[in-house]
Amino acid sequence: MRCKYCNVEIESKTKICPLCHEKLEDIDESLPLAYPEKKSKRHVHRHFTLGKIYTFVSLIVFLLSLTVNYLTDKSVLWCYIVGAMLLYGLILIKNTILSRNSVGIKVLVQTVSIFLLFVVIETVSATTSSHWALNYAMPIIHIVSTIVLTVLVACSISKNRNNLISVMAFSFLGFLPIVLYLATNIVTVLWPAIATCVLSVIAILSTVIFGHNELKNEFKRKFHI
Amino acid sequence: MANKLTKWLRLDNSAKIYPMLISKKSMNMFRLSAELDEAVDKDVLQEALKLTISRFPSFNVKLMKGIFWYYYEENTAKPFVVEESDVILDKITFQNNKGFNFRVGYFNNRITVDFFHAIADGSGGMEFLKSLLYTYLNLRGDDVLSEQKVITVNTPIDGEEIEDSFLKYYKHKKMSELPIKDMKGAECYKIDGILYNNNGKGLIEANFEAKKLLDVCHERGCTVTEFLGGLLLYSIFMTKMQGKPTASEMQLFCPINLRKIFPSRTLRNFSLFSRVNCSANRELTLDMCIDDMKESLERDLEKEYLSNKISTTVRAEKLFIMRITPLFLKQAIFNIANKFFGKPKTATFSNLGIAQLPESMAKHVKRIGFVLNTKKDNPSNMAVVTYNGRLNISFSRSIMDNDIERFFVKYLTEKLGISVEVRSNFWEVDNAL
Repeated sequence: MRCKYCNVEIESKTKICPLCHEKLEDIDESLPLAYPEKKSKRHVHRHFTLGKIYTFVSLIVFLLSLTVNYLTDKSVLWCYIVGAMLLYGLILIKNTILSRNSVGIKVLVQTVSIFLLFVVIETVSATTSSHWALNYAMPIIHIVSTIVLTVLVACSISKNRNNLISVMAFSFLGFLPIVLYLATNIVTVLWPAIATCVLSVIAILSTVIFGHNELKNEFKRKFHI
Repeated sequence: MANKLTKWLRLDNSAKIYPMLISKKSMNMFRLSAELDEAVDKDVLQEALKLTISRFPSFNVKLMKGIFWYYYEENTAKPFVVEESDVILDKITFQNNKGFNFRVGYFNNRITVDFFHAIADGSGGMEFLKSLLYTYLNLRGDDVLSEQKVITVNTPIDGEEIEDSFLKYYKHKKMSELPIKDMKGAECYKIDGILYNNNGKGLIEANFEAKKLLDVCHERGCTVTEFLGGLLLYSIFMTKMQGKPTASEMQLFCPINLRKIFPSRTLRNFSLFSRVNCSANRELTLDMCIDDMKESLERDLEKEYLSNKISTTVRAEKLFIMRITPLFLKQAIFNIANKFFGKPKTATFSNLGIAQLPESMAKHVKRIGFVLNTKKDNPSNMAVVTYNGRLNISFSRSIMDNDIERFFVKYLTEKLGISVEVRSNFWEVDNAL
């Protein structure tokens, strides 16, 4: 086919000239398409994503809780527990379920979030005198998280060599309860702190003994300057 | 994977910038394609890709974040082929692409490979495409030979293929000796137009006999690159500036393949840009534009000057403060600097040169294509590759109007008498088919 205005040969299926867009006279239907046909409807912008819907519903629920709480019995401000739980849900969706972060980061974010959620519940429910969030919740969450992370890394060690540093960092965090017990009077119960400490030592030793080379390589990769 | 070379790789000097430039809608990409004598068989292509990738350790990678720099890690996933999208050079979403930094597509007779620029430049990408074609044709049942022009799955892996050649040719020099000023961006004319939605791109391809253009270039005493670059500048002046002198200066970015000057077998990035300045405050003619191209390229292709440029880019990477700045901070500083001090380009023009295939393969490969990506601040680009005696020009654009392309092609046909074949993806109109 030829465009008489542009003086060019057209080598693909079309009714108009690619340059001047004038109608062509001798249309050759047998010519192949040069490129995939433009889809009539392309997705422009997603207004209703899971994250957006969740955020919107959460704000409404929190606002309602706040109103009901302040209009009725104000002795326990339970609306903040609702708010904290909704916020935790958001973190769970965005940073754990939908995120591309490594397992190490996900477990770390979850651990910190659950711990902070318990601190809010402890504070609001006026049970701070027992410090149960620090005495029991923090060590137990840490123990569970360390076991989960270690198992996940051990199971995927041949494929994913990027979480040994996370295991190490996490294990070192396990010394925090015992440090707080010895240095301050915030943590007052010894056995959960000792249990966390022992588990951390086991995690560190197993990582160093079984994953020595992997750990060294991961360190080189992650920290190369 | 058979080799231990790709357990992890530092990004090469030139690649370090590309991950930082990834935006929500785009990334620095280019496309290489080959059109065959028969419709592409998806299953055969899939098998060919699986075999080819095992020979190219620097392509079989996924991009990872370190504390201070990005790095590449061996990708243990299986690469896959997809039908070409209607959007040219659509952004590669790594998580949907199994982490791979390239995408192999097919459409009718064509095999396309879209590359994220951090893994390779045009020359490296071409070697990958040739190898993929070789494997594909053999699997399809054509007895093709490599004739030592193509890397095959049986060619032993050479360490030089994955080296960072910038480091090889780096010479430590005093800061005062380095051409830092020349490498800084400057204000220039930016092509205006209505941008497409959804990262869509218009693409017009012009194909014609290379010999005819070569004769014209000989008459004028210039190279094909100088002529085409000059004609592009002239087309921008005549269409976007209506042929009237203005205060602005046009800047054309032309990649220089450093392998031609500094011997290297690397398949990774080893190119630098030459910035061609063309002042539009005068009644420009094509000859003036060609002269500007010639002047800039002659200066920028000088070995000592290029060596200093290599040293400058490597020196920047080696600065202690740069090395110890955490990646998130580098990214934040880069984003701010780019937003407030980033300079647009008028256009990018890349000439990949002549693509050569062994005779037994050339029988089955009808055409080779090369397309550059465009962005909001760089909306119109031109890429050229010559194959089988024919020159293929791809004009890619993010803006709706195609005045520049129309003027350019008309000049070839009407003024030079060259017979040109064109085709388009018709992104600017509906119902073209």
